[in-house]
Amino acid sequence: MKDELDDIKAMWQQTKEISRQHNTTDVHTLIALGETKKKSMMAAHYGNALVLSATVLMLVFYFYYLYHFQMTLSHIGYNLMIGGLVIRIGIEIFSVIRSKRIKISDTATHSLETSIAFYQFRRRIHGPVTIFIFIAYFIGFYMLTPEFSKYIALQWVIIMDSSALVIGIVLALFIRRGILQELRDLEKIVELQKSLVKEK
Amino acid sequence: MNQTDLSTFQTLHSQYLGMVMNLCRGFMKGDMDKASDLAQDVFINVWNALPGYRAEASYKTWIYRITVNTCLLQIRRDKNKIKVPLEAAIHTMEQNTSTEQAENEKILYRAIGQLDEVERLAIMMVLEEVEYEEIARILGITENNLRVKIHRIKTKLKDLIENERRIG
Repeated sequence: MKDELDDIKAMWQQTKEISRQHNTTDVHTLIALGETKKKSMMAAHYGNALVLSATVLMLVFYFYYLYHFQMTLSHIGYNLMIGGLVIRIGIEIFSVIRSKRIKISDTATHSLETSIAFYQFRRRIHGPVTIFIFIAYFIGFYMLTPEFSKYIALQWVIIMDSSALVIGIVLALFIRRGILQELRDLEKIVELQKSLVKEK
Repeated sequence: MNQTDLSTFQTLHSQYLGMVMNLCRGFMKGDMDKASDLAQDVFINVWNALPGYRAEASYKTWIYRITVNTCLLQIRRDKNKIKVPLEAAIHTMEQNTSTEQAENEKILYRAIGQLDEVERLAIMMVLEEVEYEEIARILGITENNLRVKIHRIKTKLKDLIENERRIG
């Protein structure tokens, strides 16, 4: 056994110099790439929250200042839309805070544990809440239809409602894909963690 | 950009590039190009984590941790990227080595490539002659657990190498 491992070690040592020679990326390029990565991570972390915040501001401006809805149903509808998005923004920010607990320089076990906790949080909170908010948003939107139909020609109301339905289906497919991907990631991390801590 | 960080990073890069490349190469089943990309990711992560370094572990242990986590992170970020077909990896490797070394390396990387990700990382650190105590600190498991694991991996690797020699 010992001899065999020594043989393997000798074989391994031979590869060292070749490995080193092959990597030619200079330090300044790495730093530039590092800075770019930082920015893209920031964009990924806060991008969703920013886009959603901009949407909320637009909706607030439109519903509260520009267009004064009269029907109670409409009030409930747009508040459902805005309220859902605000909750979603809160979740996005909380999710970013949770994700920052994953440290690349932790021990592998700890890093995998925090990753598992993060993905489990996403599965518990993100999935069901996202679906609820999504449904609430579209119900809210359709609650505006009766008042819209008082001022807009029927064909435009039909076009508007059916477009919303198509957008809803496309978004639902994207959300489903994202949730399934995160579930697969979670399974893989759990598998890695088990492989790391198992003693046999 | 902090001048101290820059100079520390330059030192770390020159000192540990070989170590990181070896681990990445083994993890990527001998594929040098993919190993280079992975090593680049490791040092990008080192640069970004550098302001948070608190000297609780040596730089070597710290960089090993980042390397191991980057490898494991790679698996979940882009599973297709990590699945280097063994034949493709060996082909890349043969282009970079003399015929004499090629056979040995082929056998070694074929065998290592058949271990699972965690086994691969652990045995490569053993081959790099990292102390068991330090490997345990890098992986975050007990030394006893590590010894059991390494014993099992050695046996498995020995069988895999013998098998590769037989068919190779």
